[in-house]
Amino acid sequence: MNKGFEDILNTCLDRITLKGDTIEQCLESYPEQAVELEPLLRAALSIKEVSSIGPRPEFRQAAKARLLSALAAKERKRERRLLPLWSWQRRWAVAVAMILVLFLVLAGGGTVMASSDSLPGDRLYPVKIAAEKVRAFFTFGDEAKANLHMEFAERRVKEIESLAEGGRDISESVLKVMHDETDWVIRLLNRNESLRKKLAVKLQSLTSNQKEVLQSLIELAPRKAEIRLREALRRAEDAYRRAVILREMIPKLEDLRIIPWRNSYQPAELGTSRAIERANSQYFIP
Amino acid sequence: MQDEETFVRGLKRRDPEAWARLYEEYFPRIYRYVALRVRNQTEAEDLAEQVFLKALESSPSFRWRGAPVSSWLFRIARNQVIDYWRTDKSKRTLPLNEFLVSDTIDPERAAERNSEIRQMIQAVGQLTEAQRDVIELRFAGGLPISEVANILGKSPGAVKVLQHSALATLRKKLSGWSNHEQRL
Repeated sequence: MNKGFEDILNTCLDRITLKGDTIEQCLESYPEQAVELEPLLRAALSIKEVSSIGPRPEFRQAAKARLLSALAAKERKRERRLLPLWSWQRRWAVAVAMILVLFLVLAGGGTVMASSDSLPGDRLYPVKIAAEKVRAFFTFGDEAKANLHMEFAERRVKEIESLAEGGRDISESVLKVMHDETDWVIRLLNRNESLRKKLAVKLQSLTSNQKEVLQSLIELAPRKAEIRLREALRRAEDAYRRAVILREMIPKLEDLRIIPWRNSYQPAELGTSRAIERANSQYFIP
Repeated sequence: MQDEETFVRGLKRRDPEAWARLYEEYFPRIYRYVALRVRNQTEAEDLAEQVFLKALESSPSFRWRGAPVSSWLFRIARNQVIDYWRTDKSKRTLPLNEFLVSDTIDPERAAERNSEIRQMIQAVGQLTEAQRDVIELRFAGGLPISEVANILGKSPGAVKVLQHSALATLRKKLSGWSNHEQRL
């Protein structure tokens, strides 16, 4: 068996397994080696039969959820290590916010109220945004913050719709703020499992709405705005895709198994399916 | 190559999208490779899952040197299988069980397919260790010669020689069985 023949055999195997060529096509390319090649290629094709086996779909889905859940747990651990610095920054942020609030109170609450219906480009719009920032500074707890940022993102969507209805320009900045608010929530849900369980569906609905609104606006937008909106749609679709992944990371009901020695439901996190099967059989068969 | 580098960066950053992509792309192939080695559906599923969890553990220290991600993943899978056989010898007595044949819904055809696959797994099990490595990575894992060589720490030429001798042995075994069946 010479080196040349092994190269030919390998080329044929690549052609058959990767490019989808037939054995006959390969043999035609190497007529002198055909007699020796054919049985070897047929044996290789028999081995390829193995590629029709696969894991059970339900196992595949549950294992994916467990992997992504383990990933989120690691991320949470890493975030906890960074917490002291974050807390220090947060204290500064609160101090700045208090000064801002004091300013707004002195400037008059009526102005803030009047600004609530303003749109990007209006004289009072910066007041509306400043009031939102103050509200964000004084909102504590991850869940409340996530809800608030989703509310702000939803407001931006409504503003975009109102701008379009009034035939006004949809600025790059309002689109960016909408994306940034959404991304903030995605990052938070990515590292916070309990929050993910509560808010992933809401986040998916928010991002789905963003996608639909942008899609409908693109159809009516002038050429210049269309490019900007298409880019925004691409980001909204990306956010939606990530929201779907976050929702898929929530363990499903079938991933909950009875653990006999505790006699209670708990997620079979990182547990092996064999161990779970054993546990279930111990529980159900006296 | 640029794409692969970006992908690896995502994995090292523990980006959920990158990990979801890694899982979708490689889980079936890792499963097939492991299944051929452990010859049992449930054990293969468990081990394939462990491969990805191990990869997650070791991802921060993973250094990309230009080789595809699949080489890294299959190297973990290979070590996982070696550990599996080393730790508990009683596993050797596990029966060669039925596998889920995914590309057919006809039960009769699925049973026939299963029988062919069991026969193939038995034939592969009779190869030398080095030949098995090549055949399993090449055909169950779907890897090109260069990656198989990289994983096994051999030259591509040496892997081609092993591939040739393994296929010649398998051909003899499979034709021997089919002649035996025809006589029956």
